[in-house]
Amino acid sequence: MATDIYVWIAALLTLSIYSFLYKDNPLYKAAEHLFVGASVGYSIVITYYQAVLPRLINPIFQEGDWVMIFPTLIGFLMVSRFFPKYDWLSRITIAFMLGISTGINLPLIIQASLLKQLQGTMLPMTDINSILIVIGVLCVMIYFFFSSEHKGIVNTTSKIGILFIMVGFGASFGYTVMARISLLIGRLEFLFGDWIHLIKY
Amino acid sequence: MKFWEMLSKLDRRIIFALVFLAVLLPLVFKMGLPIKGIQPPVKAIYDHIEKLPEGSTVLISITYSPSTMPELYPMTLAVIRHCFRQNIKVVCVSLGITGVGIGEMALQEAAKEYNKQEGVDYVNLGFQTGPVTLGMGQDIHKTYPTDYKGIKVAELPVMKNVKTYKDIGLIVDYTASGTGYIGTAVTMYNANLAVGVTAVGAADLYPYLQTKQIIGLMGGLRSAAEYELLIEKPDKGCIRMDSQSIAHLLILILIVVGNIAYFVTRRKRT
Repeated sequence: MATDIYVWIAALLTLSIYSFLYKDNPLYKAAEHLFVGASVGYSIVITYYQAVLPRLINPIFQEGDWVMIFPTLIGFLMVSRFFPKYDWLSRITIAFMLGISTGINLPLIIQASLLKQLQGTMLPMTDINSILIVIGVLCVMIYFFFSSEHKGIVNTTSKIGILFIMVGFGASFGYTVMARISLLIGRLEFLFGDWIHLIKY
Repeated sequence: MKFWEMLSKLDRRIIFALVFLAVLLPLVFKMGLPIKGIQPPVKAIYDHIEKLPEGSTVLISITYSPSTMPELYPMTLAVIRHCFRQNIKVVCVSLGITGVGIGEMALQEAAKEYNKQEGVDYVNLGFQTGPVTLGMGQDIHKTYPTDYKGIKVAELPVMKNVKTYKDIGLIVDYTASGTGYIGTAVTMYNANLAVGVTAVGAADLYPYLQTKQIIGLMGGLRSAAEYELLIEKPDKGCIRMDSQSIAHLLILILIVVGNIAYFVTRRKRT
């Protein structure tokens, strides 16, 4: 058995979370709340020391970069949400954030996830993979085309599309099983290795 | 018939117990099942790092939390070990708050093995807020003014010639789902990107592999084990594959038996 108090705390919290597999209970709830609280506390400390201090406080007070005050003020407007009379001020911050992120992301997403993917579909059908990609994309897109009734050739094509979708779901499910088992392996390794030393390396 | 009916109404807790045993027993009694074949997307990452000249830099980006460590940590460690073995410098960043500690743990573990010096051979820049993947394309020193210990990045020898993505031979993003580097680092700055992802997210990233927007992909624990074999340093990834294989076998049997039970009992009902 482990002698480290932190290993014991982590092990007992893990067991508390796993107790949910039997049914919901106070131990599970306590561990869940503790997790949320610890995560928020950790986030605040890391964000302060890694982002706020070197990129805001130090530039303003040590390097005299007073321009940083303006984005800081815009950020502080979010606090107005606590005062119903002035909560409209927070919309300025939200609008600023939305505008910036949309402006940055929209062209990039179109280029990286739409145009490049379209380009990747327009393949010379010289090997079996290219043929499958082209046929798969066409059939699945026809399945999701709702402006025409699915009859005749459209119906046949959309049914082939369903087959491709099912293969996709199957691959995703297989990968999901693999991922979940890996997580269980990690926890059991901790409980039976680090905690009760049944697993030896 | 009663047998199939009983199977179709099997309490889910019995399945939990079976999966529990299928995972635990191979960990306790090592089986050493073979891992055959290396997937081409995993080999591509290995080959790319092999071709990088000594002294070049690899950016390791940690975008996962401790919950996905069993899958992603072995592949993180394997790639860092490979870089250190090739005398390649490692710059670690975290796009999520919880990645800071994970990155530090992996760097220190590998650095100890290969006798590498912090600040000279590697650095953990930690976490930053805002559009970090975009900022690094313009100026890494401005995006990360200090490393995670508060030391000014400009004063670190490892960062002396690393200013933007142009100075980085490969970005390896370890993520629990999608990657934020494709839109920025790859599309805007033509950086080389490889992704290590949980098995859940792997299927979604294959289209980017096909379009060559990412040079390689490691999906789930199996890929981690394969990379460990490539660098000839079998570790946790390989050890865990016994449990993974046995659990998969059990799930396959359960799916087949469950379907037979369903069809047999359905025929009886009709």
